[in-house]
Amino acid sequence: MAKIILIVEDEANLADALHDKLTREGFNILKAKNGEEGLATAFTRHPDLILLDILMPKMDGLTVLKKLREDAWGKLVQVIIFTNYAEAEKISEALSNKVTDYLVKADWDIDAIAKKIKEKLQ
Amino acid sequence: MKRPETKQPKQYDPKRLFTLVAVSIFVVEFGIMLIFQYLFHPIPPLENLLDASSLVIITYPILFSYFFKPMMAEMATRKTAERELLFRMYELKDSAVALENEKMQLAKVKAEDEAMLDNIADGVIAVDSRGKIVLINRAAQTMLQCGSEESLGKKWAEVLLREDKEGKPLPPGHGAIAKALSDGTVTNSPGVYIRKDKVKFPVFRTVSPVILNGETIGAINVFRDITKEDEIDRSKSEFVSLVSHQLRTPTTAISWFSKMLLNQEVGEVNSEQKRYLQNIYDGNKRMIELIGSLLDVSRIELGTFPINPEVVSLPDVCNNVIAELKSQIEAKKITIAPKYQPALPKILADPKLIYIIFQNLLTNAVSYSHPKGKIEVGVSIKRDKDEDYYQISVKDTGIGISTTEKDQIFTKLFRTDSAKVMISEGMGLGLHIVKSILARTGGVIWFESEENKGSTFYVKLPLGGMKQQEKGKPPVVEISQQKSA
Repeated sequence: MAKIILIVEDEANLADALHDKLTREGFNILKAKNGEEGLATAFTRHPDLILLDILMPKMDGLTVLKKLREDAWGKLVQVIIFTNYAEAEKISEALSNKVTDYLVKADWDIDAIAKKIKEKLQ
Repeated sequence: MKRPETKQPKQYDPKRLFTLVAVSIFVVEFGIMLIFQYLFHPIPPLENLLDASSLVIITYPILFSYFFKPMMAEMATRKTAERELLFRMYELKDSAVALENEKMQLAKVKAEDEAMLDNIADGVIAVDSRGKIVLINRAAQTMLQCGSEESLGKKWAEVLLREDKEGKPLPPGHGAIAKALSDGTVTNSPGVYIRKDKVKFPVFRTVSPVILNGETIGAINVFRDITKEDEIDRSKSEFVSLVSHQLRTPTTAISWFSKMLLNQEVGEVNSEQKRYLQNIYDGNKRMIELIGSLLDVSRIELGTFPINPEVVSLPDVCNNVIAELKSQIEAKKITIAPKYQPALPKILADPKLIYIIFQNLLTNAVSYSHPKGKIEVGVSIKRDKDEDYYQISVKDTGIGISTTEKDQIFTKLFRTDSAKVMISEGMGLGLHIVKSILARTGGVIWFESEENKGSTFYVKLPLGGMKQQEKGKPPVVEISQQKSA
């Protein structure tokens, strides 16, 4: 069965690009426009990987992550914090978790992102 | 007989007294004799008269020299002395008046000076050689909320509460005034002072020693509140940061979509289309890099980047950067010769910052070299006085820097004319970023260069490496000068 990836991203065009690319790579894609929606979808659909943006309305990415990790299933799910927000020190606490990763969108080629995701879901 | 010249006008000379008495007796006797003669012999006998006159004639010189003359001399002396005294009195009076005038004049000048000092809008605090406050002008009193009576005579550390770069209160004995008093250091940099009510405010201060006849007799601190300037700086930096973040979203979108088109993921692409798409992709990539630099600069200015030291191998980072520049190096047929000191110990430093340092220096060296140029890179440990330190050097045979432009090389957004000719793009931020990083981590950067011959840039890093720092204050650029000559 194809792995499920949840993309939590408020910028529609970026979410679309990722959706298209990752679908072509053979994944099932779920999209959420904000943190609240993202958290709900994560708990109902239990994706294999979550791409999590930080700066979002309604609930920001770091809050989502915190709530996610409070859940028994959520504690173990792979998350890639996926952002253009460069204040790494705010993210460092989240990174102390071995199932959490961090990418700056602007610095990553879409091919490299796809490659990384495939590695993680090996 | 001794000549009576002793200046004792009031004392009665016994000889004189005797003479006086003798003479008076004689005169009286003579007088009586005359009267008797007159009474009993109407016509005074000539002999008696002769006797009398001869007596007078004989005694007159004696009288004169022993009585009259000294008396007159004494009167003369006394008169002279009195005149002398009077003269001196007048002189003294004149002097007193002149002195009084001088005093008034001095008091006036002093009052004017004090009024000037008092009304200087900057705070002025002067201390004596032991560090006790001798002057605190009105502006300083207002800024520190401390009156003159309560501050004069106290050690400055009790009145002037300061913080160091990390926000910890500075203990007395450290700080700019201590340095000025101990070895004549002039400090010209921002700082943080604390008011009496514990409110902190940022200042810019100039502290210098006061030297009189080669001796340090005190120090003087002129400071001003830069809260306004800081706020302006801060909002500028925050603006840049905000805009940069916003710019990243569309540039990310362009990058991803144009790449997928290039990959032919949504249909075939002919060679012309590929070429155009590649241009779009490349142009966008450059934009992303520039935005990244802008963000770096604004974070450096705000001091918001943390320093997380790890064990880093300087040669490894250097090699990585060289590998990244491989395509440019090969295109220009540049020879690059790294020379690393054997068995160089690893440094405790933030790898990202080390990377930025190498990246900027090497990119500049490659970009501004002529084709077939040579670049030498060195990493070693050097010794200066008693201190060991890491030294990184990057030497190129490129366009070099002219003498007129040397002073501005580390200025934000500065690019030399010859650099602009060689490469039209580029923002002039790289060296500013490196310098700011080094300022925050205790390193130094300097260079040697000759126009059209090439440049050598040197970076010095402390042996202890970089210290762990949270979001810090903006880097303080200290311009410290040792006492000259």
